[in-house]
Formats: sequence, C-alpha cells, structure tokens
Amino acid sequence: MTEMAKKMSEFERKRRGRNIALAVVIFGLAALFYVMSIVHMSGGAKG
Amino acid sequence: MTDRPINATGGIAAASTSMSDAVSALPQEASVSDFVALLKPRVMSLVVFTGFAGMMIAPGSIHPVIAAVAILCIAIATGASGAINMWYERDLDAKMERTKDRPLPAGRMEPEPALAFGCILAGGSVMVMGLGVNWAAAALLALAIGFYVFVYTIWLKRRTPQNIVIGGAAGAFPPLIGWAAVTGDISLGGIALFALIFMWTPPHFWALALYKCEDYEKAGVPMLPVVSGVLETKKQILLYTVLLLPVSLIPTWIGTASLAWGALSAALGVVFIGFAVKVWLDETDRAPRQMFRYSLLYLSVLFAGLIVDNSVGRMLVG
Repeated sequence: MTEMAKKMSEFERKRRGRNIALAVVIFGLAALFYVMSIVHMSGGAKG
Repeated sequence: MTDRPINATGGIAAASTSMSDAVSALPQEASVSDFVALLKPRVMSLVVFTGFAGMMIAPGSIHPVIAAVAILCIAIATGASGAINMWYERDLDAKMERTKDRPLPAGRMEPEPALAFGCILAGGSVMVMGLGVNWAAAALLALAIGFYVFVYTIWLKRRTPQNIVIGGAAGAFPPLIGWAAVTGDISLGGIALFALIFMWTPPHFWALALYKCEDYEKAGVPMLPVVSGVLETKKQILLYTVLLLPVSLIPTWIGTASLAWGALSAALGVVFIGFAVKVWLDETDRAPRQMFRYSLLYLSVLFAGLIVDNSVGRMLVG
C-alpha cells in the first residue's frame, strides 16, 4: 500500500510539474508573440 | 456473521488488487527533466553559439528582440531534431553505454510523446522563425531539421561510415541561418562559416568514435573505426584537419573576418593538426579524448573570436 501511495504521489508530482511547465511555455509564447507584434508594428524589425 | 470478516478481507484484497492494477496501468509519466533531456541541451549550446556568431558578423543590423527570437528558434529546432533523433534511435541508444540512460531506452518515457514533442517543436520553431524573423531563415531552419532527421538519422547513420561526413552538414546550418536572419538571403560569408563547421565535424566525431568504438560496434552503427578500422580512421582524421586549415581561412580571404582572426584561425588549426598527428602516433585512448575536447574548444574560440573581431571592426569603423 505504501509502495502504491508512493507511486501515485510520484505520478502526480510529475504530472503537476509538466502542467506548470506547459503553462509557463504557453504564457511565454503569448508574451513572445505580443513583443514580436509590437516590434513589427513599430517598424523596428529591420533593426 | 461468519461471512462478514471473510467478505471484508476479500473486499480489502480485491480493492488492493484493483488499486495495484490501477497503479500499474498508469501511463509512463515522464518528468519535465526527461523532456529537457530529449532536447540534448549540451549539443544545443554550441549550435546556438555558432548561430549567434553568424548573426553577429552578418552585414546589416537586426532588432535585439528579433535576434533573440531567431536564436530561440535555432535552439528549439536543434532540440526538436534531437528529440526526433532519440525517438528513431531508441533501439540503438539502449545498446550503448553512453546513451542507455536517455529517457526512452531507460523506460521513463513512451516513444509517441517524444516524437510528438519533437514534431511540434520543429513545426513551431520554423513557423515562428518565418513569421517573426524572415522566411529565408525559416526555410534554412526547416532544411536543417529535415537534413538531420531524414538524411542523417534515418538514411545515413545505419548505412554508411560516411554518415558523419554528409550528415555533418546539418550541424553546419546554424551560422548560415543566423546570417540569413539578418540579411534575408544566403551569401558567401554564411557559406564560408557553413564550410568551416562542415569540415570540422568529421575529425570531431571520429575522435569520439575512436574511444567509443566498442559501443558503436555493439549497437551496429557503421562508424568509420568499426567498418574501416582504427588506422584508416586516424588517416581520415589527419586528412580532414589538414583540409580544415585552408577552409578556416576563407572568412579572412573574402573579407568577413580580419587578418588577426585569420592568424588566430591558422594557429588553432595548426594545433588541431598537431592533435591529429598525436592521435596517429598514440596507441591508447588518451590522444583521441584530448583531440575531442580540443575540437570543442577550437570551434568555440574561433566563433567567439569572430564575434569579437567583428565588434572591434564595427567600433573602429563607426
């Protein structure tokens, strides 16, 4: 039973970690597209 | 009354069994670090650095945000290629000491998520490069991924000892991509950097293959030392390091780099040849190991030198 509980807890810990990483990536992408759009609209993309 | 304890015990046993079944039926849950390992972060760092150097020395300018996006795309595409490579080569990786602890052969991850992860990152990086930077750089990025996955990993690696020679082109793309991110086209300066990495790759990998020969043999990968023997490999290493020397001077000849950088390049190239000679003469693993380490230093110093050289040049001009 303890072994099973440990496995479940490990499973849940990994899943939680992945969910957090995915959330960070999605928010990061949103921020990236926002900044990229601002740069392109301001005509600064050519440096 | 007598039935109750038996039923209760049976119920607990049944619940315990079904719980055990449920736990064992849980899908293989990979951790974030396993996904990061799929990206081959150590390979990524050198690739990103050469891409950055290509961008820094290209004529023209680029907005810092767009430059960061281009570097991010090169990094992600490199990682994506690595993930697809690990998916395809999971059977080989399981047989080799060097790679058996990777997430797929170690059983920490199912193959399908690894492939999906690689494909999504590959497609995403090309799309972002196209939309955010330019489509010339995006096309080169797609070509580099395709070359690494289809030409090197799937076609050449298991078939010919020349796998590294032709497949090495995939690793030579980043400075060309960095260059194209700034200029929007492919020009001689970028091609010169491509040629430099292309010629550097065979001696770099063959030095590694010399002291990992047994590993490759066990996995059935036809690396040069496995197919043609140690002596032939040492001869080829020497040949390529000698050929690398004039190739490494092309950026100076065409005016992409200064004479000072040319002198640095020549000096590093002569030392590289010295290591190849040492490998030729040494019967042990020591010289190939030293040469492998030096090859990494060689490329890092050359590209760092290019960045410094170009920055100093721009400061003096402007």
